[in-house]
Amino acid sequence: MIFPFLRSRAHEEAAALPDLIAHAEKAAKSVLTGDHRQRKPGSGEKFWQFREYMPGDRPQDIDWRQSARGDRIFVRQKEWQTAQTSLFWCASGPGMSYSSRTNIPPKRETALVLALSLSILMNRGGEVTGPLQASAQTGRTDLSLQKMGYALIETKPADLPSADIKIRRDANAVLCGDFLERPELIERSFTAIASQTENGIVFQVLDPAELTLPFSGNVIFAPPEHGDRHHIISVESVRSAYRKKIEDHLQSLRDICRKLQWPLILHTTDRPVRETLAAVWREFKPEGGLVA
Amino acid sequence: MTIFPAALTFLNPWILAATAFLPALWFLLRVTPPAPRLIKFPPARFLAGLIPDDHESAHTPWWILLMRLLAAALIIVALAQPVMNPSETFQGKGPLRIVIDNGWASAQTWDLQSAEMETLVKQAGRQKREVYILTTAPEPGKDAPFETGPLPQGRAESILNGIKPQPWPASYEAAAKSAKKQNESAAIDSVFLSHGLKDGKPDDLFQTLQNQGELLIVRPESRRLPVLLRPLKKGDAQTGAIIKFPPEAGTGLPLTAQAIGADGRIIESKTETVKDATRPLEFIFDLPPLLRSNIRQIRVSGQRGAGGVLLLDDPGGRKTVGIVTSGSQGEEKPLIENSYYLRRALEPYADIHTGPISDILKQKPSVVILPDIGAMPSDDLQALDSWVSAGGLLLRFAGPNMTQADNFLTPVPLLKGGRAMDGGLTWEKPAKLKPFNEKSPYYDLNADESITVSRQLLAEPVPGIEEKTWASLEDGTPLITAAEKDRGMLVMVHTTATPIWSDLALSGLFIKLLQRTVTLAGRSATMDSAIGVLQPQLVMDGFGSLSHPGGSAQPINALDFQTAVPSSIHPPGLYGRAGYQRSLNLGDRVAFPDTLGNAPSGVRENVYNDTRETELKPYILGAAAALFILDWLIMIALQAGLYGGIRWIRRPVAAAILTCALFLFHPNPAAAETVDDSIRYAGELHLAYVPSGVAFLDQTTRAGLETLSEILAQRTSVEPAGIVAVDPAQDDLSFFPLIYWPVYNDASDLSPQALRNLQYYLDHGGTILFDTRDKNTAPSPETGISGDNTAALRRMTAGLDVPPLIPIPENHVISKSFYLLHGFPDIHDSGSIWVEENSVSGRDGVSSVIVANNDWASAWAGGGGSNYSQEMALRFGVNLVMYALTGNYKADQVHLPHILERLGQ
Repeated sequence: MIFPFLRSRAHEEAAALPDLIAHAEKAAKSVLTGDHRQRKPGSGEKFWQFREYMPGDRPQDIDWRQSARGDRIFVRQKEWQTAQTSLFWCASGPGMSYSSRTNIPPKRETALVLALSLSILMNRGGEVTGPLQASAQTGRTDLSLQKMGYALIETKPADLPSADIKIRRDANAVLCGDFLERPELIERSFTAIASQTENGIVFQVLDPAELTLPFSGNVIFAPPEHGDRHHIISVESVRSAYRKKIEDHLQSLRDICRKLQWPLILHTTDRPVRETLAAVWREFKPEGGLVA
Repeated sequence: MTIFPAALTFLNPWILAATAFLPALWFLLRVTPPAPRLIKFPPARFLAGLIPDDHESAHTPWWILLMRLLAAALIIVALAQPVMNPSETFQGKGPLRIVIDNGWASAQTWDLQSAEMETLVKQAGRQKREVYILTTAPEPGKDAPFETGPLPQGRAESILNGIKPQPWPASYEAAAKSAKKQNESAAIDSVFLSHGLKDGKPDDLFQTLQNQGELLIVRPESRRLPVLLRPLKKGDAQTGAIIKFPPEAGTGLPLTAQAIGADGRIIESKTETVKDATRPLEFIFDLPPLLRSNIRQIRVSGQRGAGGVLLLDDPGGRKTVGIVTSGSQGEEKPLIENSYYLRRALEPYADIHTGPISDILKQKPSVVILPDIGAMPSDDLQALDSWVSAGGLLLRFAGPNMTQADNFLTPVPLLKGGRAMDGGLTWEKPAKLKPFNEKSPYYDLNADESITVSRQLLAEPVPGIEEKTWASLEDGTPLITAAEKDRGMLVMVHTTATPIWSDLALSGLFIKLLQRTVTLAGRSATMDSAIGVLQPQLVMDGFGSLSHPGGSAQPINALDFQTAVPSSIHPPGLYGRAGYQRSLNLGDRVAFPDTLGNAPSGVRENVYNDTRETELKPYILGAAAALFILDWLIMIALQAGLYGGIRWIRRPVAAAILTCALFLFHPNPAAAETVDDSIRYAGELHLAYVPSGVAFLDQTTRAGLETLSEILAQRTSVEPAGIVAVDPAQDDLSFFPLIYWPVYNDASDLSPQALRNLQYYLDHGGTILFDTRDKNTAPSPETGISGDNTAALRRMTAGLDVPPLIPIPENHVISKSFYLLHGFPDIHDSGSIWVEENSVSGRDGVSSVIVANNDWASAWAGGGGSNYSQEMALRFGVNLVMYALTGNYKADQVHLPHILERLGQ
């Protein structure tokens, strides 16, 4: 499947949120980077030490109050704080290509836009992002974003992140997908990731039709690739039963995430991505922190 | 107008009983649900083993059911044969007779009558009645009207289609006779389709018809009664006509009379509204004489038929005038010769022949003018004499040659020697004109005081000279004299037709005098004493159109013409012989008939109904079919899934529809230009190409040109409005500054017309880029242009005159007309471009023909592979279009320093 202008759309989604950017940058500074002190001078917010001025230092770094006390000129140094790494994963199974109406994008497209725009926002906030499958390809530049985009798109179809991925302990895993698999499989996959990093966030991207079953009449439902077909004589009559069943599934997914202390955000493809992005930033305010 | 309520009748009402089965159909349809549709659904797994809320069986949506039922009901209704506005049926078993009143007046109500005929025959067919047909107006050339029968419906229909109104009055007596003949067996019911006027005495006929069976008389409503166009009162000098109409027509009826010229043009049109129903409308065409003399007929606008046409006699139309010139056949010397002045004066009003008498008389002129001719050979004189006696008008002008002449063919004897009133030896002053007296045909003309006559020929003062004098000088000496000679006329102007003797020839009066004199020609010949017969020359048909007479129209004795009445042997029209025509008009000869009064007792009456009987069956069946198609489409849509699945079928369906539309609307990519196209092409710049007929090649060409025009619009001020496929054989190429012509191997030869068009296009500033597209084949030794297609190009353009071509020089204008190109890089490095060596002056240095072999269109479309090669090809294309549009503008040395500077960067 081809996703035209995916990157530009991700940029658009990110750029359309001016207040969100301010929010994000603030959050990035105080939350994402502030928690990872390196105990040595560097770019940070907190004071680390005074040091004598040397040629090459920027004049605005001179601490005049301190310098005025004696003859020497001191430079105020701050503690170096490292950036947080976020690793992205997007589901790419056949079911992700589904969209119920022409004016609704396929789930996979939405998931990709969501992942990329989140990544752009994080890059802006100073975070390092990369694909989960190849966690070495991290970075915060345009090039790394491009690489990540390619990695997310050109991946083997998979409904869940494979359990044997090696990732850094301090990385933050961002998982986007429809997560309609059996809860046991989801739990196994998530637990495998959680065993390597404790930080994770799950975006469940669903088509509205998958939640509401808006069809009517005599329908044969078939999974996108293979599997059992289900002939429903009157879809209206099973609608409420279906809704109950899908609600149960969502509940079990919520339970899994709660156990792992990962936030779970549900996004339906008929809503704009930026709405969910905004919700994410609202939910994970700087005080609370994106990372649990 | 009476409006009858629209009525609906079923011819097979019992079929409607089938509607009782519709509820059964409802149940039947209800339990057959539409086939399930397949939806790909990722969470399909969740649907396994769901227990439905209720056990309602799947059913067809109610609106589809309703639609199907409606379609079924429509079919039932259609089978019951509903008829809209059924005409009043003639109940009965026996044969039916249709009597058509088809005299001259019927042309104006013919639509009503023929519609009624059609309805009646259909009805008779349905009732299985045989049909008799009878008309009232005699057949052309016969006394008896047309009658036939008994006939079945089909034959009767075709015969009725052939019946037309006749341009003469009906003969009810003859019709009654024919009706009596038709009554052989049983009683015959009759329908009399009248035109509403009593064109004679129909009572006898009605009596006869009534005796044989039932009679129904159908007549038009009073506002649609026929009218008759009559001439103005005799002796009225104006041109005009009177429209007579029946008083029942009432006031407020607008009527329009049109004056129509010899060429069929409407010269004048006047509309008046009837204010007093009892008084006919009078129309006077107040026009300049020249226009008035051109009027040949007057028509009532919107009324067909002989009654609405008035042919005019030939009062002052174009006459043939012969001017006799003295021997010399050389060119007429302007301002000196008589014939020069005469020709100039008469040309607008008459056909003029000049030459010796013998030649002129062969032209059968109405007027012969003898300017200053004092003698002629005796046989010419003899011929002229007999021509005048037979009714010609001879107009003579005096002159120096006549002063010693014999008095031949003069209205009055002349005195020898002229009278000079101006000159060295006389103390008289040049004389002025005396106003014309009342008896003169020139009485209403103004004798211009400034006109003087200095010399004239004097008439011998014989008794009766005063009556013969049409114009004289102040002192009473005659200037223009005239006399009748047998049936002809002699007119003498006692001065010259040149300004030698008088300045009459220089005045406007001269023209008027001549014109008036010429109109007098033929008058004596029209005298009722004329003998011989007048042949029909143009006759009218029943609808008032003129045509050449068939065998049935017979000549009229000239003596009887004044009293002749149009009839089946003398249809109205123009009668006469060469040079002389008289018109036989209905309005002239026939009194306006009374309106058909109340029918005799026992006769039913009816009025023509505008609402025609309409069979509704085809429409209803069509609606049912449309419903079925709609149902089918909905089924397809449901199968595909309204929700989600539909987009899988939408693309192919859209593509199919698009393809069909393309087939429908673009049957031929190079369909001939219409005027609209021309306007469009002239308004904006279009890039053109000549389609090869090979679909793939043409697609590529089009795509290439589209890309090029996009690039042009983006980067330059050239904004092509579109791409046009042109056919050099049919289309006007002049709208296109540049034509791209991809050549392929099997291209057919150009037709001569195409070659002519192309040559014209090239000679008038057009540029054609021939692309042989064969860069990969080896160059041929003799031309240097490579390849197979080159041969095709050579063959195609063999008939074109094209200057010698050279390979494009390095610094050719194309290399700098927009982009500065270093050489001509393209997708194929072996490509070459050939241009004219020296462009013809006037073309602004633009080569008329450019031959390339690079397959530019494909390169523009991006078929060359890399973006770089496409970009370079497009740059060349931009330059090429610029070159075609701006010419050598960039070759101008003025820009050289600037260009050099930019080249240096």
